[in-house]
Amino acid sequence: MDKNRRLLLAVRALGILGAAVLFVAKDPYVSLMEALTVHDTVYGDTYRDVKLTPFRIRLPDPVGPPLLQSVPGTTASYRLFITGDSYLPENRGHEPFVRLLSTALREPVFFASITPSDPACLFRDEAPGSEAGRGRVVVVERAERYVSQFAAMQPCRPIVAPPQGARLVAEKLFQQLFEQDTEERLRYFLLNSVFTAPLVEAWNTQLYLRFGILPDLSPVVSKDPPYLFARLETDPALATSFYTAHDDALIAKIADGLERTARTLRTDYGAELIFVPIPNKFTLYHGLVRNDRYDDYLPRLYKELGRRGIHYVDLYRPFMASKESVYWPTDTHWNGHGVALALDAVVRAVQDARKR
Amino acid sequence: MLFNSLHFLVFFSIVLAAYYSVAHRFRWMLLLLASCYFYMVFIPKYILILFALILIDYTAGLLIEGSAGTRRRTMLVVSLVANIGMLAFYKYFNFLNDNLTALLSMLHLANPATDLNILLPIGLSFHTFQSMSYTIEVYRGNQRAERHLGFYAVYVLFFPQLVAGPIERPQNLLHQFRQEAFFDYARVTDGLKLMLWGFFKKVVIADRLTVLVDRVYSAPGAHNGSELALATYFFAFQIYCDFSGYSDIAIGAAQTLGIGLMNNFNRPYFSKNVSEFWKRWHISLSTWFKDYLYIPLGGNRTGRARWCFNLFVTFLVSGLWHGANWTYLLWGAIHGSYLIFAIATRDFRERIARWTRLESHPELRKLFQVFVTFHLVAFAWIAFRARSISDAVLVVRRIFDFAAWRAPADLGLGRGEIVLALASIAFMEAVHLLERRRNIRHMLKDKPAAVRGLVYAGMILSILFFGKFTSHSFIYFQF
Repeated sequence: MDKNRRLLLAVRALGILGAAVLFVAKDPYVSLMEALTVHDTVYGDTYRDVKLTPFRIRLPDPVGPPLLQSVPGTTASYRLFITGDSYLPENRGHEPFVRLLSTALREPVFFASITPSDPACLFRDEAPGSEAGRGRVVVVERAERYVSQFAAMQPCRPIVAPPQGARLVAEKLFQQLFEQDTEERLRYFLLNSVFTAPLVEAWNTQLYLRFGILPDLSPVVSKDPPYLFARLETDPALATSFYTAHDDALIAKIADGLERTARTLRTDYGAELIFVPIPNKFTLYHGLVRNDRYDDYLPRLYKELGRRGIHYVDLYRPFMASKESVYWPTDTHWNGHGVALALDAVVRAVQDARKR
Repeated sequence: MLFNSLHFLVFFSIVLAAYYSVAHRFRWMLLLLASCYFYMVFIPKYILILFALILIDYTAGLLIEGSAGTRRRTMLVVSLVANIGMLAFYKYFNFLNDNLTALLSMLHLANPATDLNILLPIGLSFHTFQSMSYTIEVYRGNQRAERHLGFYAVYVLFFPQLVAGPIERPQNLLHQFRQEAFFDYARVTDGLKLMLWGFFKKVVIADRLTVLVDRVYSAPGAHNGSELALATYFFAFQIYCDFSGYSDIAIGAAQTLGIGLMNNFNRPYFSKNVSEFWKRWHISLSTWFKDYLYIPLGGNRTGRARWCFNLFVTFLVSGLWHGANWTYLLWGAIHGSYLIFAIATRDFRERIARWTRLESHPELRKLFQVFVTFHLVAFAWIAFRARSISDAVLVVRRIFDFAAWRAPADLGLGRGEIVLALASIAFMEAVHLLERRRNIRHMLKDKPAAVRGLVYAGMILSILFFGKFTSHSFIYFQF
């Protein structure tokens, strides 16, 4: 076979591969992507990006089937709801928080990840006022680095549903073709697909071991004990970082957003809001890298929420006080100990909210 | 979509494979669909603007060719007004309105018009100029009007050069879509190598330098002269690598599809004077202004005063083309002034060269001229990069306040990164030096396969190792 034919074959093969990757990455129902990835989290994991020898931790196998619920119109049969991302059922292989909570309170839990939309979007398919007085509780979890989003919550995003009719199919197709998130989806696929994740992991690991280069997601590492911290939390240029000041005006805006949501949930859907901000890993353990001053944002937020009568769970104090690490060393998510501490606090908060 | 993105890599691999799999008579449709998709990924509805301009210019071209006298001219004017009008509306309305507001407020009057909340369609400045060159060339009789709407649409929308050039001429580009391009190993691989070089310049050099430049120029008051000088030098290379990198990717991508685009850069920082710089920098734009503005104004075939006026106006307009800000006008004015000064002092400079004996040392003289020209251009880049005239003035004052210079610190780039940036620039300029006599890709063709493999693998690895992949768009996309 001459050079021309060989290269032409290679070009065609690459084209077909590219089309396949694009199809999987742009799959509107995400099911194909889920089936082919080694992660279920939207970000991919720090751990996945760099698997370092000193950090390698044997993870327990995931327990039980997922409790993910995102079927529209079924909220009426539940009394306990969770929305957020750190509660994801398959999160890092530990006992799913949602299952533990369900077991502790002896009731089913409705979970839907609708962030960064308004938590009231959970009930978008219910008529307001139809479920008053049912003693419902909505636990809203948010990582500390994203809490400021409550200052300006986004409107409800559509829950993915099968298209109906030619027009809807055409609209869906148009949306999928030109949605702005193609690059993010392709990047996620590259980092997390079963085909490429081992290669990416090996590449990034060798980059770090040989040259000390960490990928952009994880630019900071403490040596002893060995911990990785994500750029999201450590880069002073990013609004999500530990270094971003949360002044009183911002705290008030966040509290305003939560107060509005709490009021909507109570009056329209008979539900009590419990807000659970999760302290960032760098907030808790920045001392391993540098002893930089923290602006006490979470305690000030708790105080403001308490003043307005909004239920919240203080995880900052128990996490800070814990002698045992609450995070995986190479991950942005809690470990089993973090889950246990949070579970204890949330169970008590739900029971208290119901008593009132 | 950006060239430096996974989306483009996937898109391009699909388009390239499909291009050489469909029959030649369907290729224009494929290119048209691909180009529409490429553009619509930015903001889908803005494709309607291009469709409107395509229809207007296509029709105008046919009517110009089929008419005579006043009607011909009228059709040309319609085309120019449509294109310039679109450009003025989207790009300059708010700038003009803000200046009108400022002027009226000086007279204690209020401006009833408010700023428009619209996004500039990406690449508007480029494809409108390309469209205008078509109707002008048809009017001048240098180009036959295109009868096939599809081919004309591909001429305007051709994705490699749609959003940031090179700004092509119809004589060069239009007929190529009719010629069947057979898959050729040498041509395709050469195109891919050119794209590789473009990616190197963009993600290894330009996107690395942007961290420091953005940090310093976003707050010039917080930096001393040495930091501002360093940022200015880095910006000179950032904008070159960014824009020439884009052009290389565009030209390389087109080449793989069998389409030849014009060269847009020719080692501009090796120019011996500013006039030569403009023959080597953004060649497609400078020749556009030369052919359609400078020469119609009279060019240099007039008296000296008028010649200088023609030059100055051309560069003012060129500055304005780059953006709706007084800083771009200032940048254009600086370059116009350079050229006028060069004209006015030509004899004097020749005398100085004779007196200093530089004339008898041509290599030394050339080195001196390149050094001076680079610094003149770098000085002008201050106005181009600064956010405002006052920022530009501040930067200049601090750079020339040598007494206040301190060692650079806190520039957003660690020492290792700065060393890497300098080494990459040195490597790039070394390649440019080698290319004085012959294109380096052609030089490599004669080398053994092992050497070629090493070079290409090294380039790919350096992009993977040292590339910055945090999605910085190309500077010239904003124009």
